[in-house]
Amino acid sequence: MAPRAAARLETLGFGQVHEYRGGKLDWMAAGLPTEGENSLHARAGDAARKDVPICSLTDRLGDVRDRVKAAGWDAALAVDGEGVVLGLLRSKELAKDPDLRIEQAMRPGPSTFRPYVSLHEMAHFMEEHDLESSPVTTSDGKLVGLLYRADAVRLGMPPK
Amino acid sequence: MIALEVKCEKCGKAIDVCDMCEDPACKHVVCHDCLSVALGERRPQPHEHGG
Ligand SMILES: [Zn+2]
Ligand SMILES: [Zn+2]
Repeated sequence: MAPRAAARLETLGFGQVHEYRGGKLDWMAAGLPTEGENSLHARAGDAARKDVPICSLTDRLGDVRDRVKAAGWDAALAVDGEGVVLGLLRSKELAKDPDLRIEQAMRPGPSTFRPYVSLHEMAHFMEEHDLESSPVTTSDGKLVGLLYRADAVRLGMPPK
Repeated sequence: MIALEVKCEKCGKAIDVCDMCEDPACKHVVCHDCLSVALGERRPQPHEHGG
């Protein structure tokens, strides 16, 4: 359902348009009303940033770091030719010796999360474990995006 | 590699490192099974009354 259609249903009196999938972020970004309960239904895949920079195992860390910074990011994911996540580079890993290959610098086999997991639960776990970001992948390991804790908390926790 | 053994806060199972953050100093260690269940990636048990 398109955001406009959902908003229209609401103005027409269908107050509980909850099964709005895939575009909840657009809806929120557009400033349309969201209820507290909606935030409990948001999924990790909705909030994961799909444009996270990617690199391959043999790339030079210095080159990747330049590219990541130029794009305004502080993290990157190492993937294979199929888009399967092999490693994670947060600011700490990106700050290592620029002459290292990605496979020497990355955190190999990071914990990944499925797109359908509740953003609310993710926000809780990310806060409890002090994680700034977590990769979201399909069940066969393919990259969906990078979920930031700030996004998980903002969109997954009901406003106080 | 340092093989530190920690225990899952929820089920008490001994694991190498917290499955969520992989931080040896984690204070809320959770194992892979408990994390999967908590995030709804896996069902804890088949439902008894078939619901
Ligand atoms: Zn456990
Ligand atoms: Zn942890």
